[in-house]
Amino acid sequence: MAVKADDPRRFLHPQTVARIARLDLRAQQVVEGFISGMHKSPFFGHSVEFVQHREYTAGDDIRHLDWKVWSKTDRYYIKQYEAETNLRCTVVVDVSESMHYGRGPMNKYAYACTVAACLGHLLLRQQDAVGLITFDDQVRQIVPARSPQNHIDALVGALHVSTPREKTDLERILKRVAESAPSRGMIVLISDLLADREPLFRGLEMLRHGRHDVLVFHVMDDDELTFPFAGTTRFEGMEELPQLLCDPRALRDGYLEALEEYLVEVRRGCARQGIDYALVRTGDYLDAVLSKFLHHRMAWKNSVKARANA
Amino acid sequence: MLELFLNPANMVVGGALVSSPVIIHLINRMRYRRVRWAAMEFLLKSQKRNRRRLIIEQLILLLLRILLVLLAGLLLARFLGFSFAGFFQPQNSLHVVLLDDRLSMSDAWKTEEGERKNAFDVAKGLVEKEVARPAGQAHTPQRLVLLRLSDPRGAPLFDQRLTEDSQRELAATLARADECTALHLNVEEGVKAARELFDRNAQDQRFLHLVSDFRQRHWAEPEGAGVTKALESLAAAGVKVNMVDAAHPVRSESQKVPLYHDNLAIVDLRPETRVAPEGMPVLFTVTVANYSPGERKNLRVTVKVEGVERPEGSITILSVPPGLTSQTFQVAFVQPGFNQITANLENEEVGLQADNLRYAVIEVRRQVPVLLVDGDLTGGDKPGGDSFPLRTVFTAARGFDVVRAGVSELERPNLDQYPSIYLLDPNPRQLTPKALANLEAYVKNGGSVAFFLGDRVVSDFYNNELYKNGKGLFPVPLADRPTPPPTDAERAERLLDGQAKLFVRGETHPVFAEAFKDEKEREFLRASFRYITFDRYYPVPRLRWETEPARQVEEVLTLPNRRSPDDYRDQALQIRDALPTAEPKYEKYRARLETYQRAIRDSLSGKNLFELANALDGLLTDKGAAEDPQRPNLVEFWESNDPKLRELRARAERLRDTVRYGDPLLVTARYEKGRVAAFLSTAGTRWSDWSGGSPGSGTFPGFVLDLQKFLSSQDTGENLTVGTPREFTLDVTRYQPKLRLAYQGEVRDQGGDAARPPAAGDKDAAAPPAKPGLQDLGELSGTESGNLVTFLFERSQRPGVYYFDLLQRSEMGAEPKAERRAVAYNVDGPNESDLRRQPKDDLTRIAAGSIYWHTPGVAPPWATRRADLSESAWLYLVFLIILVAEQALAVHLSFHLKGNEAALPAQAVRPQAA
Repeated sequence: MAVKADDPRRFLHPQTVARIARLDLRAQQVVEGFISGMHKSPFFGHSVEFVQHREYTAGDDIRHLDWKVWSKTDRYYIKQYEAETNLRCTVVVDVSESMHYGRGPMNKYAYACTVAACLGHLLLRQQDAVGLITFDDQVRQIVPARSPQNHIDALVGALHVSTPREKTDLERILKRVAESAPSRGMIVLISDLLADREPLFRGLEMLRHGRHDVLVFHVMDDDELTFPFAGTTRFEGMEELPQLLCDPRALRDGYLEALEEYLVEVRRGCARQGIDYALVRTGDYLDAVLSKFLHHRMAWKNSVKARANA
Repeated sequence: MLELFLNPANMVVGGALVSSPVIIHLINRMRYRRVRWAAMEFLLKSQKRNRRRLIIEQLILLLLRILLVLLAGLLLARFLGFSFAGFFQPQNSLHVVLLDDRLSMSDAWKTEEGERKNAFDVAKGLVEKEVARPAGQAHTPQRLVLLRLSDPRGAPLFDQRLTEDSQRELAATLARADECTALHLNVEEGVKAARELFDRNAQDQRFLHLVSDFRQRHWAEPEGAGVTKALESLAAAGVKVNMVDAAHPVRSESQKVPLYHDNLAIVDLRPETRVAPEGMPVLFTVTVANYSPGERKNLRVTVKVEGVERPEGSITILSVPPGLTSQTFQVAFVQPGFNQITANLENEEVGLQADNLRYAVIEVRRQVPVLLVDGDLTGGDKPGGDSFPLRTVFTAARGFDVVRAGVSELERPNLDQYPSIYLLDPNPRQLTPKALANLEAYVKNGGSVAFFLGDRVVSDFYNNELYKNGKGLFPVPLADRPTPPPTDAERAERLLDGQAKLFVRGETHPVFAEAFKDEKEREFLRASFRYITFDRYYPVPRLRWETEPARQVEEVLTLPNRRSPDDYRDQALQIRDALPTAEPKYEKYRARLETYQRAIRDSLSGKNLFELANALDGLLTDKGAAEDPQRPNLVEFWESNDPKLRELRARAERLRDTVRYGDPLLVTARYEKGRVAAFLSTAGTRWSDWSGGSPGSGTFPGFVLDLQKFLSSQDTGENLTVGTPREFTLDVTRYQPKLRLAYQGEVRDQGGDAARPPAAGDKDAAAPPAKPGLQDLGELSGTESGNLVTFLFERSQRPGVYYFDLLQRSEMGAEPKAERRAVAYNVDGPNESDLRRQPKDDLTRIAAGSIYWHTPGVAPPWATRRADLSESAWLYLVFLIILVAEQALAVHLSFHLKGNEAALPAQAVRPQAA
């Protein structure tokens, strides 16, 4: 579906997003679009919680004016929202070779990077600390969590990878992630999870044992989910997997069946660990991802409050 | 295998295409899109789980596609289905049409519409409509080759594959085809020529179409034996023979013997001599054959000379029963040179026309030269000499130029100027090898010679140099010496014994045929022959006498048998004793029989066997006297049905014939183209008194003139049928090796006095007019060999007279002299004019199973359309089902894209940059 020029969600459409070359700008556009669309979108209910009023001063965003107070007091007050200043989030992005598949506007890698950048931008905007870890067969980049606004540059810079390599042992990677985030926080894993499940689950379990709140964005390409191929095709496996010359239509049903099994396994595995899991297609609008994240962030905040009150 | 299809070429291509799905599959396996794929794990799992099913499905799809191609191939190739006949039946067909264009095919009739048609016209129509058209409708390639029987090995009239265009061309070719030939041809040669064509196309289905009139004369023995064998050979080679009858009336199934047109033909026109003196009437014999079952009456025969009718010669034959009828007429010629004579049957509208006209040619000279080679040049021309009686006869007869010369004349090269030569007791020592060779060549080329013997004969010379064991010029061997002269008493006894001194053995021989036709003349001759004496002659040792049938040696005159009866005594007595004189039923004849018993007994005591012959002859032929009971008719006695009497009669006749005739006196024979007569006594009166001095001498001139006519006459050997080669050899020192040919066919009635030749003796007559209707045929070159040049003439395709103008070699500067020869060619009446038709059963029996008798309007077997699988709806249904199944399976196996599926670009998918 074509994105209209005045559609506020236009910056959330992968096709539009893909055209923005710089990742930081891309993240900014997405987030801005996301937030501006929050009031009109069905995801509105997931906004940041209101805390108090303060008197309006020039330069404040007039969108935050509380008109009920003005009607009562005839004075201009703006709403102030609660800032999660104690959220420490580490975004773990898979930059392995398998993430570089994609025929759409963005491949999985671009999508994942965009999501990671958006999350970083969003968190930094909320004055949360955001760190980044990229990995393939090993941890490639670690960006400690910081909260300054210009930290986005470091995050974006770490997302660039020159030669993607295959994934090997996710358990080892996640262990490394756990080590890099000693205090409790939020771990957002953005990956296609095309690796052995057992090490993955052990890694995720490790993270949960560290009392981290884990959110898994399972990024898959539309092709991987629908397998729309036809005609004699030689599928050359990425990450040193074997190749296969076949008629795709003949294998489609079996492929989808195997994929479904895999997704169910991953979903269940995450559910068992209490890990929030979201399957993300590279063709999906990015607001869904961001909404999911915000929802999870609110749940985390509530849990923190509950512990604090307890 | 290929013969299972109507279009085998398509099946060959189709067969190759059957492998195309496999080839396409293999090509596709090499041409694929490449995709760098991350989720290989699931793909590999799927492949592992569905491997077997996939292989089976792929194989099924491949098989369906192969099957589709195969069915398409079967459809296009028009599969005929399996049959044993189909295995061995080639599809290309070769039709050889043998079109009979013999003379008999010109058999004409008037249709109901008044149109004139002949069998050849009908045959051409049948070729087009009943042979070519049905063959052209067949669905396999049909090639038709049209041959004429008159030239089966020449360029075919038509040789193409039958299509609509080529059939039109065939029709045009047939319309242009010349009329029938005048030749008599044998179908065997045509069948053999067709066989050669068939052998070169052995892989095709082969048909021979004989379009003919199927006359009995051509198909029954003996002529039919060869063609029967040739057809049987064809049938054995697998060729089918279609007999298409073009004759009229159309055969009816109910008639065992097919109807045919009546036909009369002149089968012979023969002058008594081929060289006639000017003004002398020449006797012609015309023979008419009636090939119809009924008698014809008042048949008019018109005689023309050089196209001008001669009323004196034209005759009306009152009755012409079935068979041959001859009649004579006389015509005198006043125009020197070769004269064409024609005899034409008038008012013969039905049947063959060409055989109603017969040609003859006669050379007319002011005087016919006769050469007498006398062994006694001095005394031969005096009374008693050998030349004297002959020259007297020829001079008296007029029209003869008697040339008397010695033996040396035979060495001259120009003997052929003489129609006949008489050798009168020549001295053998003077007969040099050159003279003998000259003489032999002269006779071989058509000259004639009569030998008269005498006391100068040396029998060894004659036997070794002239007789040559039957292969030489002289027709008989001679005894070592002549008979001794009789004593005066013996001579007197012989003169008065009343015994016939001469027997005519050949009463139908040309020398005596005319004379013996008339009964009175015959009796006169027989009576005269009692009074001739032959004192001496040369006997012929019959045991050493060898003859060849081709020589046509004939004993014309025979002397009585003067041998002793001792050798036959026992036989004669047995016959005598067997006569049933004691039987009561023959009481009537007893007295007469006893008379002849005594005669037989008395003859056995005589000196001469002819006496026994006379007694036996009397016993067998005595007609008795009706009014005298003592002289019953013994002829009636011998006609009894008693088998014993019949057997006795046969024995008596054999013995009579054996003992009656003594040594031959006159023997004639052929020697290649010429004739020879050997008279075994003298021409003069040295050894006999026939030529003078006896009461019977009056018969001598007639004998000489008839002998002369015989020697110079034309026989059937010279009366040639069209197509017969004619060869003659000349002295190359005398003649140039080239001659000019000319042809004279039927001369249309010149009519009028202006066209008549000048009368004889008319000195003011203009130069002889040019021969009417003469056509120049160009030159003919001869083949030289040694001193001889041989001319072979093979261009006689039409009946008529052919002239050969020779040029004699001349001295330097002198004008070469021309010499003309002529030969008449006629149609082969006996073989072509008999229009009786061979019964159909006899024809189809020749090669049973391989002969197809064409029935008008009924399609022959080769025109039957063979049904093929493409006409079956089931094939198309199966085709449709397989097509649907293939498409469904192809969709299922991802060979066709759905709407939401996109084909990948051909290039490998590259990873996209972040």
